[in-house]
Amino acid sequence: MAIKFEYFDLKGLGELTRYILAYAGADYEDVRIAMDLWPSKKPQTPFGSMPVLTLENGNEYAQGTAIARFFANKYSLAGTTDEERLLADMIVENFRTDAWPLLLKIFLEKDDQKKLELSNDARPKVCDWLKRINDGYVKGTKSVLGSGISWADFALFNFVNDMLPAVNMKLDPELTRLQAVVDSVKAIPQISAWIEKRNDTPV
Amino acid sequence: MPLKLEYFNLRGAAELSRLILAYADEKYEDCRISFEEWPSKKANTPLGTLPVLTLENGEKLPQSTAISRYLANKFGLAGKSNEEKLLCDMFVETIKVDMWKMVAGVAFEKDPSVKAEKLAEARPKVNDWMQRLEKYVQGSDTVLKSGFSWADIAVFNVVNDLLPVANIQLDPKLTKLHAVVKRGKAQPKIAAWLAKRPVTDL
Repeated sequence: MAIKFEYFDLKGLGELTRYILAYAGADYEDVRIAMDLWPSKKPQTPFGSMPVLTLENGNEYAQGTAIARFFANKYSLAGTTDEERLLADMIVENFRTDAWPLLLKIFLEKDDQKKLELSNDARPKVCDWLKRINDGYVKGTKSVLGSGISWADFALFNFVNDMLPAVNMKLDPELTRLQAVVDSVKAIPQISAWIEKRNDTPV
Repeated sequence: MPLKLEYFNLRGAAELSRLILAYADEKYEDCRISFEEWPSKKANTPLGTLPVLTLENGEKLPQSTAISRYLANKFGLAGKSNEEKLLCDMFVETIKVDMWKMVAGVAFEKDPSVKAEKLAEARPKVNDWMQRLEKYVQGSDTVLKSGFSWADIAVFNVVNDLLPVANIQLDPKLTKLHAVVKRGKAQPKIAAWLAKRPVTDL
């Protein structure tokens, strides 16, 4: 039985795992659940949520970041010391737990006035976080960790390349350390091949 | 320089780390920032947030769950295999991200009628998550088959320290989770910490 990764037909919170698996050249079933099928599928999932990972042994797991970290560990992309692991986790947690919900709320808001208010509220927070990460936490010249590429780089790339544009934000060009990481990930053959072949979605 | 953990004078998002440090019997500076001093301290924190962990080498790192995981790894509480680590992370993410958001929303709500509405929404949702977590408890009183881990401490923390604030109880039918909580409470170092820690509302 191959590994199966089920998520909606979106990048959303699933794409980080897909980037890691693309980088690793891993064989897996990339299952996309259509929104109209979701209500009947939901009760069958471990936590009534997506994504769901099914391992070769048949065990099922939920929680997008936990799943991404599993693959980061599996493919030695999690960091080489406990402190590096902490740094990677910090970056990932900031983007996925703190920033993403703010951006998602903007994306889903239909009222233009409210959308603008939410955006004006979120933008300085997100920009401030990005600046602090740029100035204090990018330890390599092209990678977050001093030891080289890690899932933190993919999380950053996912945030800048996929999440910010969904709400019309972009990375401040002055944040050159972050930009160097983003450019480096984009240039990885497996990643550019994946981006080329994937079904692109607005979010 | 020992470890320093800075947070508000609350249990909140830092208590999981404090419980792990207590279990490991590790000396650290338990630094509590008052709400009055926070505005002046905020700019000097890595991301303008608390908690912040300062390592022995002086490096400062925020993000509460990342900090807890670092401590769990440091003290051998994170699981013995990659799959066990995933199971712990699944428990912690459900507890610290999903459950936390719902329950904190109730706890922090000042308007009594809105609070009652939020509670009515939160209670079945929390119960549902707990039922699902119950199915994933692999030991007789530990989440992992291999023994005690930070997932057990996270379960203890949410049931003992967070749910009561929102007046939510763990369903008595969830006997495995109750066993996990009971074991957590009985750990001598954890019990000692519970007896001596500052008493706060949240």
